[in-house]
Amino acid sequence: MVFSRREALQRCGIGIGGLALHALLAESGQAAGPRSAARHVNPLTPKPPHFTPRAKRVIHIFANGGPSHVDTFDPKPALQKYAGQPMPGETPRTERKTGALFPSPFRFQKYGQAGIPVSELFQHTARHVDDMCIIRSMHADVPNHEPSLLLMNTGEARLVRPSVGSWLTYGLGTDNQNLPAFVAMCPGGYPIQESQNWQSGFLPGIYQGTYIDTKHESVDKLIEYIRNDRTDRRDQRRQLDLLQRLNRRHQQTRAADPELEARIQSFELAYRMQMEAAEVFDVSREPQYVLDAYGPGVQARQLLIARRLIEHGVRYVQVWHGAGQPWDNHDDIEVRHRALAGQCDRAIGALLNDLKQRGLLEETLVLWGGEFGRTPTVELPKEGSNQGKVNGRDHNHWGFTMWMAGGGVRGGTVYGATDEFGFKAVENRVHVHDLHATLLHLMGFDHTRLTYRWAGRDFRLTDVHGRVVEELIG
Amino acid sequence: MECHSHAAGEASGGLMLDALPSMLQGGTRGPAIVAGDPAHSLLLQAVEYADDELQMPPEGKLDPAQRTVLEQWIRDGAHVPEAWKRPARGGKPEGMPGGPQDPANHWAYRPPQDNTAEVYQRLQTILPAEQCQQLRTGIDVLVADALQAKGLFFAPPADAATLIRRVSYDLRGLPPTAEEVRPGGDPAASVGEAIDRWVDACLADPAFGERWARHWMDVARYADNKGYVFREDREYPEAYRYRDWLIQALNNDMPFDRFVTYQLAADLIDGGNPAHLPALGFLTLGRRFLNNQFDIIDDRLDVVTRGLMGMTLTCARCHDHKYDPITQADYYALAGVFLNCQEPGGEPFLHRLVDAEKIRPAFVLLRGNPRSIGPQVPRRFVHFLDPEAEPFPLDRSGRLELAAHIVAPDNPLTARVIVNRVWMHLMGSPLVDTPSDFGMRCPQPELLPVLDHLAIYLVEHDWSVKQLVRYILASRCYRQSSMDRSPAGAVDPENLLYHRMNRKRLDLEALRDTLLVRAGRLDRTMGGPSVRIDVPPETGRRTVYAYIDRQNLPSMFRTFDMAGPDTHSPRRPQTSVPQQGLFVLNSPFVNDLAAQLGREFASQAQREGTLPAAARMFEHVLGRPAEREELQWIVEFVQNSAVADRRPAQQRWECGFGAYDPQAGTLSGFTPLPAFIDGGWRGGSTMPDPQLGWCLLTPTGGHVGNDLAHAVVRRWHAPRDGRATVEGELAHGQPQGDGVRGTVLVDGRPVGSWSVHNGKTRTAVAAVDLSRGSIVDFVTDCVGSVSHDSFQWMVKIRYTDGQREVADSKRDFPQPIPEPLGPWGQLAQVLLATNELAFVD
Repeated sequence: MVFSRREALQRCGIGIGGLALHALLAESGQAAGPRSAARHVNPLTPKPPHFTPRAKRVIHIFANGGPSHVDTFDPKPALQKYAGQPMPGETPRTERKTGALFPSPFRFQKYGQAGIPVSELFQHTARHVDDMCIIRSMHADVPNHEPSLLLMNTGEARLVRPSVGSWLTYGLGTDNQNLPAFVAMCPGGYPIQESQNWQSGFLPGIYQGTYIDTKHESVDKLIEYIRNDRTDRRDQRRQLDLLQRLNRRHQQTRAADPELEARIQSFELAYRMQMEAAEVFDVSREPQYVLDAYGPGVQARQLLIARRLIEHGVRYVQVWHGAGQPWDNHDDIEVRHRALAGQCDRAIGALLNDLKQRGLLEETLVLWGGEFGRTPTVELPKEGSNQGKVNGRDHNHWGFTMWMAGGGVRGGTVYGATDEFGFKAVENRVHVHDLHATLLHLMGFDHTRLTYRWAGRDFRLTDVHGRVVEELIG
Repeated sequence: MECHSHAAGEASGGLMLDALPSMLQGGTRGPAIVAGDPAHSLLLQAVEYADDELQMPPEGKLDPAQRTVLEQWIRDGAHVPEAWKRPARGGKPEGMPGGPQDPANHWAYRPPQDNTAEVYQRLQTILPAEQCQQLRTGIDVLVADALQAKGLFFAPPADAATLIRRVSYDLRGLPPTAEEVRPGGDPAASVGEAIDRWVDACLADPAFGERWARHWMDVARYADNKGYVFREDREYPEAYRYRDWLIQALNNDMPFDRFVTYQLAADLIDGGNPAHLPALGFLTLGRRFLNNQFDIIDDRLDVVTRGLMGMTLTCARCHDHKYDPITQADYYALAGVFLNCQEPGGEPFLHRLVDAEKIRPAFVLLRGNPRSIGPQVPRRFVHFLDPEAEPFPLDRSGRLELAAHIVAPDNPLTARVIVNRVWMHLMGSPLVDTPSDFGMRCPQPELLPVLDHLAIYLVEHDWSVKQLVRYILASRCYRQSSMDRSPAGAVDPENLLYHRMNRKRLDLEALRDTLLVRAGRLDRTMGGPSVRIDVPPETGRRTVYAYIDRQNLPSMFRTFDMAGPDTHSPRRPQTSVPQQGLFVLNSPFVNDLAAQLGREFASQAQREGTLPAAARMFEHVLGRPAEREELQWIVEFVQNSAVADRRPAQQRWECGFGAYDPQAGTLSGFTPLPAFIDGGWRGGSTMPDPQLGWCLLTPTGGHVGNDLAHAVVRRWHAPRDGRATVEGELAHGQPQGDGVRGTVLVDGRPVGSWSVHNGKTRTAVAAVDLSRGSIVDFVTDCVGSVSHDSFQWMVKIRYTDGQREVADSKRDFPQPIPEPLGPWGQLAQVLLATNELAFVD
């Protein structure tokens, strides 16, 4: 930019909100004024938010399936004390029937200056508690994966709505036009609900997350058809120039059809992706000490890719643990949670460290959690639902933990609390809508004003809900 | 009030707080207030946050003063303003019996009404005569009526070429050929008549069935396998027979009521005619959910009720439907039908269904739990749709009776649902925005009269889908231009009223088929087992014949918005993502097609010059002549191209054959093997190849040719001067025949030769001097006879000086390097990628 945003605004004589609004409207074809002005607007051009943001990018580490909060970030000594006893009062309804209180098999230890207890599962991550804000009072609406995934990702459990990443790229554009603005990585296939988790819903398709199967290592396999061995780049550029010339001519007589524009853009994006993607996804370019810090395995690799993407200006990166719902441990929670955390803990710690050392953490919001947590009570045997081992936990939307780091959050904090046993959020409860409102706030948006007109209504991520939880902000 | 008021249209927990009667009646937990009795007033408990699950308002506790006021107000008898004493809007939240949206009043549950005649009379008095004259069908009357209410009228009619292309894609999923774009016939005939004839021609084309079967396959969640079933065989080997049945039924214009009945009960009508049994794939080809019987039944109920009636019956699996008048008993009454069906397998159709021998009674499963058996329910149709209906007979499943209820002329849903789907495919957007949910939450469509008119039309025309299509395509509404125009665009920005045609983007099937057509590669073979379209060798079959892997749907399908095959799909999403661009730019599929087109027109250009060839290519791909400006661009593109063959001048390793003379120790006529198939170089796609016999070289070995004139040769070009050794092992693994002979030649001079028969031998050559460009040949021949002569021979050439680099015949096995596209291929690819090709006006 030739001049700063403040200067730009002074020159234009309009407020920040006005500018953003104009940019947004221009894009959805609603802006007043001559069509030609709006028509060639790149929908991913960087746009300022409503106010100065604390965070500019997001890495969302999605522990899909529902990690157990009482085994990770929300210690409950009462579970030890009353182990094997029924929970006093009525056990809240979850997906399946659960029985007695089931103590955590994991050791907790205090970390950091803040002295926040974290279980051995996340001992590497825990070294950064002083940069983390742990929300122990999250709650959602239902104890089922599908609606909870959609709620967490789109703010709506059933209907087709844009995902958080889509909203943010719609609101902010992206700093690097040569890469997708919004990347969703998941090794080995899709999570439950598949690409709906990063859907653009009614927003233009260009805001949809780009899915990358990080099971693969070579860039040709990570992004299909990323290479062409028959036409080199220079010739391809000539091809695209001719293509877009023909397309623009075709478009001239077809007014402002957003579909036509979107397809034109998708070719440009595709072209640029070839070059930059090859570089960014190639983690072997990292020095050995960095590779060593993240450790082996696909979780390490994709978290490292996440950092490289963020570093290259990608707006929103979602890092899913794996296909299906890996953290959904209805049985063998001790063995399986240990294995899952073992796959990612060291790399998450390394990521936080790496971001900090590179000065990226300040403007990068790292968010960790699942679609819900798990019950402090043991899941009872049920044919077809579990293996009847009576050593796992059911889904729990009544209360669970998520944490945020960097990006303007208040580090070294625990916010909210679940009840004595960890079943329900009882103190300073934070609904998923509240989390979304807060996230948008950190990114510089008033969540009630980031809207999109569709089918006669101004939609927003938080619908009619959401409150910014000021206490989470540093 | 945001959550509990008539004004906001919200009744969280069934509770309304802006009218006294509603408060006294309360919500799902009981009365909100008991006048005069604060202790029993839930409202007060809620604001006290006493109960974890009942805490209001959600933003935080009221302060004590506010709470006291509330308590005092209840104690004083809960007096409210007069206006609050009236039940607002009937006093019931939406969707409750007796409320403003009583199911009895829901538009979709009432019989369709056709008032076209009255509307037409009225329109004649208000529309200018010139507009009235343009109305060709009842559709036009009703749409024009909605348009005129907003001061709008249809867009001008589209021109003939546009309509020919539009009709061709809508009915056949294929572009018109060059001849079809310029229909001959009576020159005096109007455009309208020419298009009428064209519509009939397209309806008669077997491609119609292929195109429309695929639409129905979205409804039927078609796939060629079962999804995740642990270790069981995952395939549905005869799924394709269902697809073929659909194609045939649609081409034969089977009446839609028959079409549905066969798909539910082909075994029970028509004497179980084997020709129609594949129709049962509609029920049987769903996901198998690890063979959980209740989930399979649920999936079948879903495809039947949402797919055929726009009814979300499966919401009532665990409890009564939250919005619609569907009870849990309704669910289990129908689940009982499928509970009494089984799949016998075997001839004549593997995935057919028959009634169980012993009919079991149906029970409600409380909360959907198979272990919590509730009351018995008679197997019967959904109660509210036909309260007087008899239960299904006790001696059979009731599938046939179910089908009869679904296609009964007085079923208000079935015809509406199918005409909405047909309209959606033809007009580019549905009349009812949720094509598979016509329930209480589905607001009355803007153009309900059109929907009803078409539903009645369909039934009155013997459920003929082709006739319905013909009718819609005859309308002024369908034949209007898709060009945006003002002020209509501002009044009806989403084109809900069809003030113009919607521009449609080719879906995966139409796009892929079009690319094949343009490259002259479309294979119009109909029917038969499904073919993989995502892996080489690329097939030219139409995309409707693609193998659909439900468990791991190839990304190409998703990238291009294919309907997910897991559950019934009401409509496809439409996205524009860079992966689509990458596919068109870089996929071997598109590159091969472009190369083929490129070769064709490059040779035309040689004969006739660049300009005519470019003009012809443009017209060939886009179906219209290029404008002057466009022609200039594409000619410049070809002329200024400087495509160089960027392949390495010579590959280090080559795989070929030649004539070997063992006496003289000479090799002559080295020729590269032409085909690379399944990871090896050979003569061609068949084995043995008519010319080159059994010649084959793979990374590890190969097979010798049929005689000494066809010895197989692995050739290596030395990159530099130096001394090198050769090592390796030649193996032959069969007792039959006479084995093979391997010989190493350096610059045509034999330096070692070994014969091996059912054994192996080291093939070491001590230091040889090489110069840059030296040729080392590894020749394998058949000795005497060519039977059983496959062999393994991996070799390494190791420089013994300098960098000591190693050439490894396995590691460095040469892969085919595709020919560069060339200027004409590149141009073809550009034209195939244009928006003009991908969108239909």
